[in-house]
Amino acid sequence: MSDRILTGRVEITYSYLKAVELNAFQFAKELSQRSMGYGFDGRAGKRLTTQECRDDFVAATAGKPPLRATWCMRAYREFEGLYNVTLIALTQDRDREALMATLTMQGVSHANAVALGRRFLEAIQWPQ
Amino acid sequence: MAAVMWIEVLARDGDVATRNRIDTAEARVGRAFDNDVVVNDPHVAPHHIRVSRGEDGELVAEDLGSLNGLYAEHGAERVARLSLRNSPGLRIGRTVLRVHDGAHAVAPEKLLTPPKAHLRWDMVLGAALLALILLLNWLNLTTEPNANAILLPIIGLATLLAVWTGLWAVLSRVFFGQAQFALNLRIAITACIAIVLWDLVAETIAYAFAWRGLGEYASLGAWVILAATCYAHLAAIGPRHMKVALGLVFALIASGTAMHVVSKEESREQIGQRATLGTLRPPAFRLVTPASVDDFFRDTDATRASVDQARTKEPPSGSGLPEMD
Repeated sequence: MSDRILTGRVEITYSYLKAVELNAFQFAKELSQRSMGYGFDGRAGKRLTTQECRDDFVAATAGKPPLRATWCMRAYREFEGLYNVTLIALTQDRDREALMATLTMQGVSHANAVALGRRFLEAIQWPQ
Repeated sequence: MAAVMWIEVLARDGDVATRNRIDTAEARVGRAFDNDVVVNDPHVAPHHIRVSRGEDGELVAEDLGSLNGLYAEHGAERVARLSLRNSPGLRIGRTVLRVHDGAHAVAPEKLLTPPKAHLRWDMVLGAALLALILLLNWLNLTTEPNANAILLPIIGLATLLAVWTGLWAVLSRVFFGQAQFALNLRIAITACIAIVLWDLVAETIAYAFAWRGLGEYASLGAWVILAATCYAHLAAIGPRHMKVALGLVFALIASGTAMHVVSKEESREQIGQRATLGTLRPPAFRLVTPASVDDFFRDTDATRASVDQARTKEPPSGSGLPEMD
């Protein structure tokens, strides 16, 4: 494999955000803007395809907050079955308080990305 | 006494140039001054046609032996005798005439907008647009308020509205004879409100149903609103150009849609989609039941299939820079 390609790198970030002065709409706008700063550049290149994304609301398990989740993938052109994946999740049960979590995985298989992504989403909860 | 008939001579733009009342049983039309209706057209004979009533009262035009002949208004075949029962229009030389019986039914009276009514509407709609913009500014405000950031877009929009309305007012003055600035301004402000509201509604629906595609293609709605706005401006100028107006509207929608779709597809092929949660709203605006984790990850198969397919395509040109991936 090329020494220019790093595989298996995983990065997780969590941001807890609580509005002090912003109302619910302003807080949602702030979250929208913050979510743009994550993930890989989606531009097509010699090594990678363009990025494709899908959004949905996800209910991990009962008793845990519903999430707004975005899953983005890019494939390596030279290595079949290898991808860069970004998963962004945002809690969707409170108007002025949220946890934004991102999981970025570099050079992973789809199966591994799904397995880790599942654990990642299912682990998001408010402290009891 | 014979029933009254009216012979209208149309100008080149389709307007009625002269309207002649005929009280006799028949009327002669031509370039000579002894006719009942005198037509100023070098391609019309001195005594070109006679218009009279048949036995059943039907209006009929007959060619009096002219060089250029008699035609139905939109007809291509020369005729010696033309019944005007179903269509009142006829053509001699380059002139179109319409012959109406005195009992010809006319369209009902159109409601006239009272003076200053458009101006009052302008003020109400302008205040509504300003309130809407200020409200949206406030809802999207995430930092300390900045007067410049709020005022400059409003001044820019007001300038755009003035220029846009001015152009339509000039067109209206040229083709209709009146600038109708207040009416054109009312149309333009209504369009602005529609575009702002459409943007707001489309973003909210895209969030509520998690439809990323709606957010990406929402500006197609703005093209439809723009086309409808041009149609309304043209309708204000005058109804006789409505076929042209409709054609213009469809052309505007089609070209706008085509440009938007092509640029989006090109952008998707070269730049891809951004990893972002999109435009969010407060959680109460969510209208779909959240998917289960199983369903969510099952659907990622489609995303994988899409990027796998993209692997087989040649990378776009101009991507020669080394990548540290």
